[in-house]
Amino acid sequence: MTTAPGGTNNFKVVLLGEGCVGKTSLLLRYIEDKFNDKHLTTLQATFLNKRLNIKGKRINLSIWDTAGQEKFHALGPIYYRNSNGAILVYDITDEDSFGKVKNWVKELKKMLGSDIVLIIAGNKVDLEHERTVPLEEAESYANMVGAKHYYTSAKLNQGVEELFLDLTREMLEKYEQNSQTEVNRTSQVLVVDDETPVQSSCCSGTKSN
Amino acid sequence: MMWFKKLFRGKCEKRTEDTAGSSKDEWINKFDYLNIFKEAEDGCSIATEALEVVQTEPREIYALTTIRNFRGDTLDEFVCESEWVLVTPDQFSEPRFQRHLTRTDTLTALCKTVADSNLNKKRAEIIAKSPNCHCHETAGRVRALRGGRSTRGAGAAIRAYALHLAQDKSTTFAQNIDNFIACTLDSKETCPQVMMRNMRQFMSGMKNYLVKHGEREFEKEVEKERLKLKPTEFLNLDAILEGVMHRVVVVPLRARLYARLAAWHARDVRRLHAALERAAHATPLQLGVKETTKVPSSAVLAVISKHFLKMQEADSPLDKLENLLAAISVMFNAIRGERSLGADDLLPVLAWTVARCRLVCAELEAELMAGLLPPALLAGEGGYYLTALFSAVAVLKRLVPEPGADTATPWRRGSSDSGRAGAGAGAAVVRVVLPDECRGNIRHVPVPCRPGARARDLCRALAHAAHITNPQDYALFALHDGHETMLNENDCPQEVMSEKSGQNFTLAYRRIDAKIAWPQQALLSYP
Repeated sequence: MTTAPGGTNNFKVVLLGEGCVGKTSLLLRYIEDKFNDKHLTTLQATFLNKRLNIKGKRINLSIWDTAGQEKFHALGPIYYRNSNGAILVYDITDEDSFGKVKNWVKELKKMLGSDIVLIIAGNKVDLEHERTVPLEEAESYANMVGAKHYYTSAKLNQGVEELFLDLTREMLEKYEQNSQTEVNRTSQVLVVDDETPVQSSCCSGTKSN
Repeated sequence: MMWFKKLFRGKCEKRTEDTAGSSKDEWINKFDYLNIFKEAEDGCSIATEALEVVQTEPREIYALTTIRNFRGDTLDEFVCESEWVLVTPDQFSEPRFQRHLTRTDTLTALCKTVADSNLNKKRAEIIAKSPNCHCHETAGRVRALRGGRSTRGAGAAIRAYALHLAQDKSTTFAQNIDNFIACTLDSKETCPQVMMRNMRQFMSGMKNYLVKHGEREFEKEVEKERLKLKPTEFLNLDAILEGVMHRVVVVPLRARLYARLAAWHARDVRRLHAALERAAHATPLQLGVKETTKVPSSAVLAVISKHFLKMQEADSPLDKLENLLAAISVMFNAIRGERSLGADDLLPVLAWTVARCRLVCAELEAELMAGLLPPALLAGEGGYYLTALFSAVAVLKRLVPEPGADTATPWRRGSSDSGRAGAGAGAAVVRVVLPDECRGNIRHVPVPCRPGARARDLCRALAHAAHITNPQDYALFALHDGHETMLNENDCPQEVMSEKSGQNFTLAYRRIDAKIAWPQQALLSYP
């Protein structure tokens, strides 16, 4: 959540979910629509930046894809550290993947509390007829944990744009709410800074003498 | 999307495909990194870029183009019909140029820009410009930080002046830096993270000091350069000073920092080393690479290895990061097929690549970059791929069970338990005698060693275990019957040992120039 000199807000968004639920496709679909004149196959779909303009504010989303295989689950923390938002993707035709989302929610709540905006995305709605995760269950679960729920289809390009847009709005709101407390905290840090000896004496960024 | 590539030699205007074939091997020998493309021609389908190599003058120059289905009948066709760029071998091997190769769109854009700005194409000799990709802003930030450090342009004078200030011991700037370095070297702090945090804080602080407060003529110098700027240019003071700080703070502390890192992460390094030994035999599938995903060929691995090596050698964390990104780019470039690759593909392949390149120091380097780079940089692309490196290390380390508390410092433990494992060619652990020249004592160190491991592998592990920062001065010696024989780096210590079984025989790792009279007991302590 850094603010670049030009007034751009940088938000970090992490994509979590089991392998094969379509995280990468979702990300590509979102980026593709903005840059549809480019050859998509040349993009590295693991880390992408997307610039947005919301309420006159310039925003840059850094979207981090993660490896979804179970064996990489333990790596979660180093990816979602300092995230402003998380998109938890499951496959509506795969109940296990929804269970995995629940695990992520639990873990994120525990580690990051309410600092992070959570979005749950039921992907592959183009396969509605094969759905195994009940609509009501998914939505009521999302409600319960305070996450927004979206249905998406990376294939048909449904719900993708809306998902990212809403996520960004929420992150911006949260950021603006927190900014006041941030300011207080920062000034406190500066006071402490001045008291530390030797090597940090010249390190208080805003020293005015 | 298949791109064609050809290798050419000779005058730009005249040569045809015929001569290309005969000289290809020569070219490849000359620049072994071209192996990456040799394989492409063999039909191994990594040719996702067009690469034309043309020798236009007595000097070697590469011409890269993005033309598709290039038949190569005439070079005129190539020169006139395609968009292309000429680079020298040095420029070509630069990380930022290598990064172009990962994305054809930026390469195309680059060629286009160059072509547009150079009417006289045949004379064009262009320095590779950085990839200009809309979706990688933070990569731009890496470059921006780097750009300020170039020796040309407006930044150079300011850089030179700041370095001059650091030299002049009467300035507050220089005194602060000297104080900080002296304090850090004196400090008993063993945690490298704390050390790096202090360094980072100090560097940011000194940058602020110069910009906000100034010293001597610094502000005038900035003003002078500012007036020279064109309306479209600006001075990125932050970037210029970041480079200066790396030079005056990171470089003098480099050896200490590595020693701290190596000591702090001794267990991790040992575990990673053992894991790499194991992973060397693992199939890509076992590391989680999907069946549909290719892994880099050995030729590509050689290129990646070079970037990893440069990463280790670089002083500045920014240079390290650039080389890491270049290595990952080359890797991506090699495995990219029709399908887009996500993190599901990246991570296992990176782990596999790290294992194949035997990047024992991966974790230390990652820690160093994470600890010293400006935080803003770590929020973007650089941070992502650095995280990927951390993850790859974590994935690999899990191949070896975490050592229990009782084995927390086995390097320093007595030599009673695992010694027996030393004999025999198939041993998993060999024990090596390590003389400590500072303390004047001898340690026995068990080293994980896969069957057939070379002396150089052992040396690498030992250098880490012993926190040796100048491994090039060290070698492995066989001690037997009062003689010392230096092992060549390709010797297999286990084979040497099995040949000598039955004799008093010990391996020692010592400075090549050290002259040591070994105690009888050290040689007898185990057969």
